[in-house]
Amino acid sequence: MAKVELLTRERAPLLARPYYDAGDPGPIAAALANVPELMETALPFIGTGFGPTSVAPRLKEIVVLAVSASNRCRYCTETHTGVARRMGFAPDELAALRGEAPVPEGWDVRERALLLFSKAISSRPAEAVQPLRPHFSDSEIVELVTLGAATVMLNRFATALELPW
Amino acid sequence: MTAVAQSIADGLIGGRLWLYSNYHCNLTCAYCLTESAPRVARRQLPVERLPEIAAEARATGFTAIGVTGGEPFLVTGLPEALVAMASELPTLVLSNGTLFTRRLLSDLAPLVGLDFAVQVSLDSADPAANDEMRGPRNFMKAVDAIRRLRALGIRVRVATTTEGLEPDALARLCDLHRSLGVPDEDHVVRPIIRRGRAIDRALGIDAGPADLPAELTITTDGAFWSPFGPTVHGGRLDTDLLITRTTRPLSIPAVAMLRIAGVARPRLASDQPKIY
Repeated sequence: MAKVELLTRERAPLLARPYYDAGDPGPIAAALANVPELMETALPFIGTGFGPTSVAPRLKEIVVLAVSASNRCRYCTETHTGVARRMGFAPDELAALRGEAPVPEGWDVRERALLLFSKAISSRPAEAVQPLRPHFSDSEIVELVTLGAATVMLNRFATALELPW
Repeated sequence: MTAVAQSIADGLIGGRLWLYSNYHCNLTCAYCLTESAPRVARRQLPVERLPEIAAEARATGFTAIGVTGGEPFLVTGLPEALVAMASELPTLVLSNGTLFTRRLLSDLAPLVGLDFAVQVSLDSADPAANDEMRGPRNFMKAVDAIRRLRALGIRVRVATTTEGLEPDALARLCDLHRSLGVPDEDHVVRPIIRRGRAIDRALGIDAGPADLPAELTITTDGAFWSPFGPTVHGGRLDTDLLITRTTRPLSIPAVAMLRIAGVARPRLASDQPKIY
């Protein structure tokens, strides 16, 4: 059970209601709805960072799942294991991203660099960009660091509030 | 002119800013929106905040202040705060009219001559009908309070909350308030809104944002769309009409309210908080 009320559609504040139009907005949004002014700033930011950008979705999902597993965030790890599976990640890839198996042999250098980046960004952030440098442009690095850092934030948010998955 | 002042002038939102001074009350009325009673959570705005908000309201463009609760006159220091508030903007305080002792009236004396009024709840000219909803001996105390406040020189309004008064009952009530010196323009008749305790008693009418006055309302729990918004049911604050948790600076909920009200691009420079 979450440590704060997860607001239902009936109790959603006025500024939060658009996020309920398509149905259950999920526990992160339902928790943020307690502070609507924060929600309407945070969710567009999260949506932009995690949504379609110039970095390929597969590469971004590597970061999100690997960072979440590295931070032992059960909510984000379980949720994004499902997301990654639906995106076509194979079982051995999912196991590697969850820290339960070695890196699959078929991965290219960019994917391997992202895994190293993802394991470093939470515990050794000053070293995190180094493995990305030869393989990504500055703008891609900014995107990936923003995505990784936003994932760390959501990991802490979900773990601290014990969001249900 | 601020965006708030322009929106008030255009009739998009109301000019009165409401403050919930507290949620506790010495009465336990049958239809109370906030489930107020003697031992509920007080949810009290610090009394020293009230004049600060009034000053900010004037600077933001609001044209009047309303104070409600709970019973505001249970708040220690309220009369002094009201003097400061009424010096900023016309101020109306809603009361059940049961606490106007000689001492409280003495504390209210500095308000005479300021743009200030007390709105006393009175639901019927029939004491039994009034007291059935509002509690034993309420009619007698409320009528006495109206007389005492008027004698002091303070403007009194009368508020009637009802499921629907028959014409002859309304006529008797109007005869009563006129006899007490309260003119027709200072008599407010409003329906019971089915929120708070009225839900459990199956009283009143359902009302959504479009049905309720768009009057920004500040509480200790945040800012709401209407004074009918920050209601309590089952001991839990309703959040469906919450606008923002942030209430200081006042421009944050005010700008958010304008956006909800459909005012395009209200973020004028004068409304922006200084963050850096």
